[in-house]
Amino acid sequence: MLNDALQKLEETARSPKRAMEAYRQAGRPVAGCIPEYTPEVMVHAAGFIPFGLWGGETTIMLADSYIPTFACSLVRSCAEYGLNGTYRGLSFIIAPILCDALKGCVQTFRVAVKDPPVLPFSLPQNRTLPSAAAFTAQEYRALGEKIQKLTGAGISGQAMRRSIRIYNEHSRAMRDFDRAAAEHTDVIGARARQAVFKSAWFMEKEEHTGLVRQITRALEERPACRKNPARVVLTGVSAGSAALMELLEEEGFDVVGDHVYQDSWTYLHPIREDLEDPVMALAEHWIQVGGSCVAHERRRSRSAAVLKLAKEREAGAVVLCLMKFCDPEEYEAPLMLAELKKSCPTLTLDIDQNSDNLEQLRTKIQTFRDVLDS
Amino acid sequence: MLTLGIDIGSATSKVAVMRGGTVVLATALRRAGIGSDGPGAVLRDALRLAGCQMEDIAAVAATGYGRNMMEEADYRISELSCHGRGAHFLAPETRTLIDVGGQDAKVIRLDGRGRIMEFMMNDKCAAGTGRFLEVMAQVLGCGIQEFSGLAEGQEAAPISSTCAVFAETEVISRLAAGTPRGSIAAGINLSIAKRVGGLAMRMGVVPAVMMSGGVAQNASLVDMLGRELGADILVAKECQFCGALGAALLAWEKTRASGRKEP
Ligand code: SF4
Repeated sequence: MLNDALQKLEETARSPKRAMEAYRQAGRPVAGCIPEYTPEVMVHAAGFIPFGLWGGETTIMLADSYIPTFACSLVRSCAEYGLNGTYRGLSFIIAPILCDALKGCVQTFRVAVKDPPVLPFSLPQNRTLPSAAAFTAQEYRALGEKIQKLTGAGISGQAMRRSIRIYNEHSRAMRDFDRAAAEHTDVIGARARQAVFKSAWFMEKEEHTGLVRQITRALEERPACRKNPARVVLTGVSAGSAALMELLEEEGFDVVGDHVYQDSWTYLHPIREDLEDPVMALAEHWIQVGGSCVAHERRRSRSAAVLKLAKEREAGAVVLCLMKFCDPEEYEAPLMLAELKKSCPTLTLDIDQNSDNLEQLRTKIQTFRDVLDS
Repeated sequence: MLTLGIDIGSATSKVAVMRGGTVVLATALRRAGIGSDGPGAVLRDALRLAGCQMEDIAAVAATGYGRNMMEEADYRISELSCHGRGAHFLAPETRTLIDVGGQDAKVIRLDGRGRIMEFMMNDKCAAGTGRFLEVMAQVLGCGIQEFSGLAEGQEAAPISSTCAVFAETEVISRLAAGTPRGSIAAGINLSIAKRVGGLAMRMGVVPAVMMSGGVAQNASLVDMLGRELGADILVAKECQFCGALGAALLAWEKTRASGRKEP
């Protein structure tokens, strides 16, 4: 059971396009969600399967005319897939305006990609202002109206509440898996762990919750077993490819937790179910985001959160997966690294979907292992 | 116990044969790296110079980008670890090691026992690497050996571009404008010194500073880098063998620790 469920999630993480086609062939409409902090719940409530658009390992040819080489690979490869027709078949794409790169990406879709249409929305950065939640809710409502205008699918309060419940249930399942996986690294290596989290972006949440619960139950029935003494936690927007996870495994590292947006970090807090207005509940979810490089904070809390996690999971080191050319993250990195290194050995790895230099990554990881061992 | 370290880089292959982790019996170098017959040839050269056969070697450690291709290796160790260990052997007072290799530049902080405390790699682009220097030497119509002499004592012409591809265009247009080759060579050295210096300063420079790798033989560049960092830079005469020596030393340490029998 454990292996079947894992295999299904690994396959989905490996070939998202196939997963998308399968939904479409089954007559289920699919809508693309460009990260980060995209309100998938609204897409779900409108009756579409929300599908994470994380770009991918591809050669950039068409996107070069619109997006410079010094933009992050997430945005560049998303634009490439939009321009070369890979995303055709999606009913629409929603995209947040969170950073300059995403702004450029949305403009590219508007100018050069007519199919699927892109529906952008803004997220406020001054989140301590009393009006911030109201502004966010207004943006979400406007987004809902755009979806309805385009597809005819309205979003009722009842549907929103149902979707919030489904998403909260999924988050709970993911948090439980995350904790169980950290104590069963004999079965859940870095690759398998990443596949469980990655696949969540490409699968209907109800189905994903079921499979993840199966895995967690099977793990909990086994005695705890830590494969390697070298335990690390990861942090970043994305921890890159399965090949990078394989390198960590080969060099004897157990990944036992993460503060990675693409992996477990997005599941940390539930969306409130006690508010009368579910759109406002969703807006507040954004207001409460902490420790993220794309959500401004007066006092940055990310390094403290990463160190707390490392302590809880008995990890002896941190790996900062730095998305190459990600302005918000590279801006934050020097300060964060200084704070992390004061308490914990920290390795920085550049993440670039378009050119994974695996040998150089291996050299860094191997040396880091030597440093920890000495 | 005899141990052998082989450092297979992108442009050169180097071997060191050591006895008992203290005595260097032989070193050998070939200007041919990964994917060539360089590694095999340099291995034969070193064994001949050391007066021994492969069967006499208790352990082989391979390092450099080609380390995974070395079938005879008992250990495959990252070049940063090997360079750090090699630098400590050559000059135990070294606390900051700067290695400019064919593919990348590395800065390594060592403690008093030669252990790596911190490291940084410039793996983002070709500028600031040995490969960059090689391409520039070609544009100037000289070999890499000649290049250093050409730049010696010359006023550096400004090479503003930090990108290897654009720098080539810039050098060609300077040649066309009649700028002396020596000044251009000095300008190229300065651009590398600034880039590598920037990397070192990001980590923090603790003396004594050593430079290793083939680029360390470029005296004018070492001089400029020293000025950038405000520090004297040690260059051992075996600077090119730092990685191979470190590999031989680590092979010795690991074999001793594992209690493996000598041949
Ligand atoms: S936040 Fe960073 S990774 Fe995300 S889209 Fe913007 S630049 Fe890219």
